[in-house]
Amino acid sequence: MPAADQKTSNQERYKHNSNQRDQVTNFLHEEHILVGVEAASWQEVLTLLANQLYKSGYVRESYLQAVQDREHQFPTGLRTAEVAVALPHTEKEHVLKPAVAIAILKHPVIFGEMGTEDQTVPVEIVFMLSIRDPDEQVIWLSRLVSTFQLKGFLSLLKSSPDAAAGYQHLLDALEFIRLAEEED
Amino acid sequence: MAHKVILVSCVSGTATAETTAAKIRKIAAERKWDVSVKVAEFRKLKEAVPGCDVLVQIAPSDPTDYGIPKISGVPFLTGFELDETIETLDKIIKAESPKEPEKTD
Repeated sequence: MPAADQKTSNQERYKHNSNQRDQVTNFLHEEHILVGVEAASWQEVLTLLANQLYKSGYVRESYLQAVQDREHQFPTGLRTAEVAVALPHTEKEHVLKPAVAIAILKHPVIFGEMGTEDQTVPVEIVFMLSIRDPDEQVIWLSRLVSTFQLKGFLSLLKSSPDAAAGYQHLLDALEFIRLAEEED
Repeated sequence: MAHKVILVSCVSGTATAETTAAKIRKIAAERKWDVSVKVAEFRKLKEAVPGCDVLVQIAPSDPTDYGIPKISGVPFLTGFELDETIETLDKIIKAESPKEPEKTD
């Protein structure tokens, strides 16, 4: 590539980077990361996370009941290679702003397994999604899901001593995924 | 290799299906598959299937036979057994489209 083109491309890349960074920080907030959560049931975990999103104005009051109902009917527990996760979410009419709220559980909590009627998964990290427009949010959603596939990442996230550490691990992993996408 | 249509479906056809579709589009570009990827919500699956070659279903649990190959989309979300799933999809994409069976009766 000629030097001039390279320079333009770097500038564009830089611009692109800062846009994406803004996008990540739009939906990922340290206040939505709960560490060392002790819960006896998935209902309890969902209540904690939904309340967190409600308190900070990301979801409507109706979100809690809606996300519980949906998880009951269509469970979202997922086995991964390392640490099982769950992705509770619900219809957009209960959502005000896009976000992800995360609970790192002290002890595994049983969730139903996504796509099954009666299988269960002992979940250790819960990512509650509030989504309004999947077309707009699909970039960060797919990056978030890609972090689950980074070797060691979920184990590292699980061991976060506090919300600040968890937040930083997530930012780093999302940035790594974004850079890997650019390499392609 | 004829153009194939991949249909991705979840409960509402939004979060998980869109996320899975995005991952499949990326894999398709890497593997130079001649495909388009569509998304449908579970309740409208029957209407969405005609014209599609393979169904990638995430949720809910659904034993229905839609008359096209069906695979689970969960590995695209978790990475768990993803390589095997991509190989299965690869075979379906690269298979010759079956000719319409001639009606004998």
